[in-house]
Amino acid sequence: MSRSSKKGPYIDPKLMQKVETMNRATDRRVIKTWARASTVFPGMIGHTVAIHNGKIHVPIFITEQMVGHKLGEFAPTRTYRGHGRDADRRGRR
Amino acid sequence: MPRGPVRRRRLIETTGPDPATPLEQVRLVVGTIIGAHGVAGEAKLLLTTDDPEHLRTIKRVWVGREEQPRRLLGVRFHAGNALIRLPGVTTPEQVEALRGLQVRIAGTDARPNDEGEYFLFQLIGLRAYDEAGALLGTLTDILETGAHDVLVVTPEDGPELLLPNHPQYVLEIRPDEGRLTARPPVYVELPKP
Repeated sequence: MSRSSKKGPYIDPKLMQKVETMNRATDRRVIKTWARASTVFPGMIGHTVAIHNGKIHVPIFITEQMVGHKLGEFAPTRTYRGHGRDADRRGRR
Repeated sequence: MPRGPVRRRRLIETTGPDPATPLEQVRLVVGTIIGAHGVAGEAKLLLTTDDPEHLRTIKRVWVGREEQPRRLLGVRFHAGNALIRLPGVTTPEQVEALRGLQVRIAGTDARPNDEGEYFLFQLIGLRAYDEAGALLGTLTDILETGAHDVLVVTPEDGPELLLPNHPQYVLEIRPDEGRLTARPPVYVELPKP
């Protein structure tokens, strides 16, 4: 069941405050957060947010395409270890 | 029987060519044969390639550690796996004999890399330096996320460094020289909720 549109998207208030403060200071340091349920809002674009995956903080550079998604979508909590380095796979930018 | 925690296998612990190996000398794994499909000798392939559709253009494959390539007679996709047909394999029993073997393609047959793209073997093992030329460590693993990849750089001592594979942090990648130049991220700590 989707969230009521009357409420608007959930954005972690502490994270939002931090990002807005950094935006005013044009500070681009990496913010660590545990708020995986927080929605990516446009003010985050260009920031790097280190999202906790249950074990470590995974640094993710926020782009325009990520707006509206939840932060947790970009830091998987499980890793697939089915291939080696000789797989026909490429590093993605 | 209780199982202990499974340690994550790092890519640098897997077998593979060195980053500077020319593409002509490389065989890349596109999948592993996991069984037969149907009664006509089609082999079910658990895919490890990131571009399965490109398999339709492949004409020869190496099965297991065979020295000679086999012709690839056909490829189709079903339920997330590829179904391939190989010459001389016409029954499920013949496919079962191949179960567990990896299927490789020539590095030159793989899809050419786009600008800024590198094969995993070209990245794993690279020495990472900062802009001033100081050694940061060795690239030992790559985390696949919902966005870009994250490169894991392991120094000789101290904690691992996680580098988003983004031009803001990874400035230059030179597999032929076995090095990459990076700008390590600077963190701001948030209080834990």
